[in-house]
Amino acid sequence: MKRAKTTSSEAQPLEAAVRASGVIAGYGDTPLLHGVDVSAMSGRITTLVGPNGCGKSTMLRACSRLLEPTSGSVLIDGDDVASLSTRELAKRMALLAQSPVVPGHLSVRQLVEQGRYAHVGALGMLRRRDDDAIARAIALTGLSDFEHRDVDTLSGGERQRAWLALALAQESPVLLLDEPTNHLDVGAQWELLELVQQLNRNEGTTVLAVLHELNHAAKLADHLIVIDDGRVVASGAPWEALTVELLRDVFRLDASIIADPRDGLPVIVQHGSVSSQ
Amino acid sequence: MSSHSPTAVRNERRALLATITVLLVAFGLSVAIGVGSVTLTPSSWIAGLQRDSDASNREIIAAHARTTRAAMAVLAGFGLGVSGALLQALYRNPLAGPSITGVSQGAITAVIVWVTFGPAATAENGTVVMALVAIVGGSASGLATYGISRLGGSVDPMRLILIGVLLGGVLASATSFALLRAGERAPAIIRWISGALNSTSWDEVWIVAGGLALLAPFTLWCIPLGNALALGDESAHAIGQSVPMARLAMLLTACALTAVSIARVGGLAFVGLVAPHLARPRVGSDLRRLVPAAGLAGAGLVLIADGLARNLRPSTLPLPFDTANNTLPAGLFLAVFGGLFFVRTIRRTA
Repeated sequence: MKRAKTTSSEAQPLEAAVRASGVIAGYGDTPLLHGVDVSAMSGRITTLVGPNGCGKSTMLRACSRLLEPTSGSVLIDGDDVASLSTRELAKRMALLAQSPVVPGHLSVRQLVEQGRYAHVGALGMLRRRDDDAIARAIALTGLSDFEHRDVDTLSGGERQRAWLALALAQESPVLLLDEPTNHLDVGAQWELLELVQQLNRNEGTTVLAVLHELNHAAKLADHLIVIDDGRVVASGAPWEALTVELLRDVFRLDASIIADPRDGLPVIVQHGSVSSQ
Repeated sequence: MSSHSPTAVRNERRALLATITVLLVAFGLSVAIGVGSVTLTPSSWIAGLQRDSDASNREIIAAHARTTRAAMAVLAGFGLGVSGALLQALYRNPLAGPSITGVSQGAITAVIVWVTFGPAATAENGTVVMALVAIVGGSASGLATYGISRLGGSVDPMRLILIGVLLGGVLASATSFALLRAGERAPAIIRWISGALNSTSWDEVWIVAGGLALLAPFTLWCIPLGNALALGDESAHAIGQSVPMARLAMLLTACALTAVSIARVGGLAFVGLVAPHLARPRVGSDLRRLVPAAGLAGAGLVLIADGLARNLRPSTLPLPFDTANNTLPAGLFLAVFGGLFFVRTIRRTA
């Protein structure tokens, strides 16, 4: 049923799976977001970038209802997330949080099983469907050989893939990622990003990702949104959204933007900070 | 399907572990029932329980006294072990346990205050009433500890211990005050606090067993809640959990389990802390396995401690005071063992 839904939304690619409008949110009395509009198109990859403290992670938290906006709304497939039960929301949207807790003595399989929380009954008994979803998630993330290893014995990259497998086991059409490549070495960062890209292409998963590294965002995004000081300052395809002026003004970066000779996507060559110019 | 053989090996290991555990518990039970001033064989035990004409009076008394005592040890230990496993998942902290998180002290203080000042201020308060009072006291104190330790957002392990110490001190002074007013009932109360299992009646066994049976469905419900919660609040929310509701359900269930477990036997310190630690390296932290395993470990701990208490005459120990006609309470052995274990855990955590 979920698959059918994804296919039908692929037929209308301009449909927004997640549409946040006029979001004002923050912690305590000081808002970090001053009326932000963000849409994640169905079946596409949308990335949020911006300097530290710009509010990009806050925006993702508002989308996943980890944070209640003081004003504005977040719709998923037209339904306000505030009106959905946590269980229902988890069936529609999975989230890979920034620094999840890894309990000791827990195997990859046991971790991924938790992704079925919203699908199983009060006693958490796994049925055939659940087993299938778990096996699929483990296979898609290439963790079949690690299924019975404890998560805390894995490398950073494998561990992050295990968390991604948990999110995939939710079988939700939308996947939210909050700086998923943090603390990974460079090779593992690209492996994870390529995995996300494959999921998007092969499974039709809608992705909304907060990324720290601009070159990652530029490679991955169908649609790139730049947030600065709680406002959207640029939005569009990577070639449109990223400009030398924007990098100077928002990131205080002296940089050139060139085309990757292999795929033609933008690559930011960083010369230094603006002040050293 | 290349993972078939490792799975088979794991299942085999698990079956072996389960068999060994069951055998150990059976061995512990037979020692607990068989060994003592009168040695009971299986047949003389059954004869004693049935008050057969060919059983001696001493055998009848020993059979009943030791069976109720062993049953109470298993029930209380099981309840405390399960409660500890739930609390450690809830707090995401290996140092959490009923004694550290204010639950035990709250339950104990409530019972003592009730016995001393309650409407029916007699020592004959039934175990049912004691259990209910313990549930109210343990839950109030458990909720307070949890609430205070979460004030700053996340629960820092050291802060939790500080709050536990603080609350323990406050409750201990309330206990002392009640004891001053308890008059001639004070020795009985002190004995209860120190955790002794002797002269357990069948009624008391059935009441505690019934209480734990009533809590079983709630415990089963808490297992998936705790597994989700152990991943952190954000991940628990992301997979579809209503986090505040899950926390409350787990805390109340753990408090009730502790309260029912100690309603008759009083202070059995550290069982809830130690039992999950004994189980976790063997079965993992998935609560579907850890909860029953921690329960069994707790039952084993209390059974062993009570076996020591029953068979180690204080007069044989080099104690600097007169111990004639006294037996040591099981809680003493648990406190010594648990205390050492606690120090080791702190050293590993901090």
